[in-house]
Amino acid sequence: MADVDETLKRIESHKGVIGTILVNGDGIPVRTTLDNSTTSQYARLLRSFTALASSAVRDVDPQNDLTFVRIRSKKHEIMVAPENNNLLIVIQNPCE
Amino acid sequence: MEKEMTPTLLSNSFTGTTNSSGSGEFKVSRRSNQKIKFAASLNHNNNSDKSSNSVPHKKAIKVLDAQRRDVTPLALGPTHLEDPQSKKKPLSLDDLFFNTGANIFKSSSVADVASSRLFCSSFSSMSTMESGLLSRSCKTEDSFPLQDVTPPPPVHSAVPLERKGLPEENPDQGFDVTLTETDTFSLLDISPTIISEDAEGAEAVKQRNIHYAEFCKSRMANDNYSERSTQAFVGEPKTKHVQTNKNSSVNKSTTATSWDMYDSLCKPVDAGETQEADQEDYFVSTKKEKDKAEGSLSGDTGSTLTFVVEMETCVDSLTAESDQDKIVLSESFQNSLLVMERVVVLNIFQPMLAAFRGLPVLKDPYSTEKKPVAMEQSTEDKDWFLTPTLERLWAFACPLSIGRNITSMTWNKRNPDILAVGYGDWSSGSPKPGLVCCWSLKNLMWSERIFPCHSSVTCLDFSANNPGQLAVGMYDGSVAIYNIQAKNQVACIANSRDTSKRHQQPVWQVIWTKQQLQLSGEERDEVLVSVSGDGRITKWLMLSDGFNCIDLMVVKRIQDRKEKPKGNQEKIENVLLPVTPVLCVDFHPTDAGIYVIGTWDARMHKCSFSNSAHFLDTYNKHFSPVTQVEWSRFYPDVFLSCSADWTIQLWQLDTMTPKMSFTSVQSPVDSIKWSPNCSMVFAAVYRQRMEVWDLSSSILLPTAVHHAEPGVTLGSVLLAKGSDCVLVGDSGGRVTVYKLKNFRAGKQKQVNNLDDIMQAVPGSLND
Repeated sequence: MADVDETLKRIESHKGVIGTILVNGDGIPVRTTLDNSTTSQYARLLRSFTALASSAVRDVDPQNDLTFVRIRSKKHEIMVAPENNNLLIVIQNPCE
Repeated sequence: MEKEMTPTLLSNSFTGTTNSSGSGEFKVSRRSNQKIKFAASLNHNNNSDKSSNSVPHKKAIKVLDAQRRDVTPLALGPTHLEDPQSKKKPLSLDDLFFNTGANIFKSSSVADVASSRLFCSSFSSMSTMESGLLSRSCKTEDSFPLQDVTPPPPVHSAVPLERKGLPEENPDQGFDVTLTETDTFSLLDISPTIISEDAEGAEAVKQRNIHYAEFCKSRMANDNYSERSTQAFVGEPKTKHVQTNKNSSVNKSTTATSWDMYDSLCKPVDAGETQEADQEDYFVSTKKEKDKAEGSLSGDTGSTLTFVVEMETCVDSLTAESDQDKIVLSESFQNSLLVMERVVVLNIFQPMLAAFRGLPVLKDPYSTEKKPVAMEQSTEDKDWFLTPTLERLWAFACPLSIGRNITSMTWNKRNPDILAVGYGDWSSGSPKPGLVCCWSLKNLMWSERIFPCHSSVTCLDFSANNPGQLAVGMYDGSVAIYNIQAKNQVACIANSRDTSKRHQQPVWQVIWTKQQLQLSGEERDEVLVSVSGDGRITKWLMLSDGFNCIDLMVVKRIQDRKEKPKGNQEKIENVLLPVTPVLCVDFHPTDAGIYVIGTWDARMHKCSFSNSAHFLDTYNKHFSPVTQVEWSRFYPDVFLSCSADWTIQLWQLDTMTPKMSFTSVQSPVDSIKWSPNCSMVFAAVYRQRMEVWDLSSSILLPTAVHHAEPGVTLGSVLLAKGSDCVLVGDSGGRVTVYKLKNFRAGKQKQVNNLDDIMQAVPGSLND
């Protein structure tokens, strides 16, 4: 537990990390470092996106599964790690 | 010729009313006398002699009734008459009948004519030709049909029918033809039930009807029923309003994807749970949603993913915390966390890692940085003219390791991205607990494996056979093996702390080597060998009863240095000679039985596994303790040694004097390492500086020099395989990675061979 907490804090303190969001199975953000509206927006949008990505991967081969999603945009990179319907979302700007 | 009157002629049927049901009856007229013998094909003898026309010749059949009248049924068709006159000509019915009739007419009375004509007509009723005639005659009433009969066509008998069956008769005599009519077949007779009032039986019918009506009235129980009419009420419609609750509808859709079906097949047990979860989700969300459309992608076990149009951001704090705990403690989350951290860090260090790997460093087109661009371009232009330099890429450092002195570093044999670093400090009086960190190139900011050791770590080595096993030698003389794939406490799989024969002095080097087993002779099992300050070179084995060691050799101090041992040491005397600490060891790369050790008395010995008593050779050159010995991976007989006497010596196996010697500064050399990429590059670390020697460019001066930061001493150096990078560990706990820039090692030089270099050196150096 402490390890995990520590790791999360470490991630949040890395260079360029804008925020981290932990979303549970119901789509409710459980832990976040961003403001509420942004958090809910990210949680909602990325949840459906990840579901779509996972569906795409598994449609091709049902024994396969999605492990990680990275969306690289102009300004920053959104990284989503899905597991068990929970989402760990990290937004980072790697160029700073 | 006798003629008989035909008694009867016509039946009532001809004159009868239409309601008679009878068919026309024809009475066969009896004609007796005048007979026409239609002798057909039958030529029977006629017995009757009444007939005047009996023809014995013709054998006609004759039927006679009681009065001996001839009632011979007549043939229907034209019979073959033997008429000599008309034999040849075919007989037509026309001729037959009408001629006959005519003949009869001619020869008979009116009555006969009538009858015969009638018969003729009747006879012809069966023939299609005359049917019209007869029918006309039948239907008319009250008239003698005979009158309506069209007169027969004029007799132009082509064939006179006077032919007779009796040739002897008078040909002028006519003959009678009796024609009879068959019964009329009534095929369908529907008698009408309506008669006109003028008809004869009309009165009777009326009477009967009246009678029946009276009968119906007078039958029993007649008064129970009476005919009446009635009127039903037609209600007036009335409008009524009803109000109900609105049936709210929710759209629910699902997509049956192929993975959905696969999941359903694989996990049928959880279907019940899923449904319950669905129900729950459904109810919960409808409370929140209130008739908004809801589409869901049904997922696999556990829960469904609901895509909600608007989500109320009501975060219940209690549930959030419990959720968080649940999530955080799950193993998959920790995995994700690990991956995420790596990804984040890789994002940060992407250019550096690209440089490390030798990949072109890509510039982010959307980057807002401007500074590095100019510098990069300028340096690249003058690539050939710049001196080789070291470019700092990054440093492995984490809060745990900062401040600890790095004593050793080693790469993993299987996964070249994993680096093990040993921390230990014994410069102060009491040795502190050491630390072993396993760093991964994927996470440059945090070591993923941290193993605290009870004593300062002096040396490390990864096993080649079992890549997860790391041998650690410590300052207090213990040797441990860690399994880096496990975490925490289970990692240490062997520790020599309890072994009886453990080292008492610091273990200066541990090394894994492939060793042929004595017994089998063929297996190349791996053996851990350690050298320590108590002069022992020991082989460690993982036996069933624990971690045990066997001494390979005990190195004794040689008293007189000037005596050159000739390969054989003097016999070990009973007097205990002080042992000399062995500081380093390295095994021959190809011949695993040979190894070279460096000792505290500045000597290096070539030893063999099989010979535990004697050295095979001794190399004397150094003045001070030999700190590191390393064989070249490219030239099997060449090894490098360094010592505290400020020199680095290059030796060849069978030569007792070094081939080459390198000196740069007056500082003890702590460590040297060959480059795994190039045969002529090696790195050496002094206390305050690190040097990279490229023998192809210069054998007198190091090609690149790096000075340590003030206050920091460099303890260890390592070169990366497959990459032009040097790692330097310092006393500040940082392992800094430098890229060798502008090194032209091995490229575009005439001298590519170390042998050539060695040949180029004039003579061999003597003392």
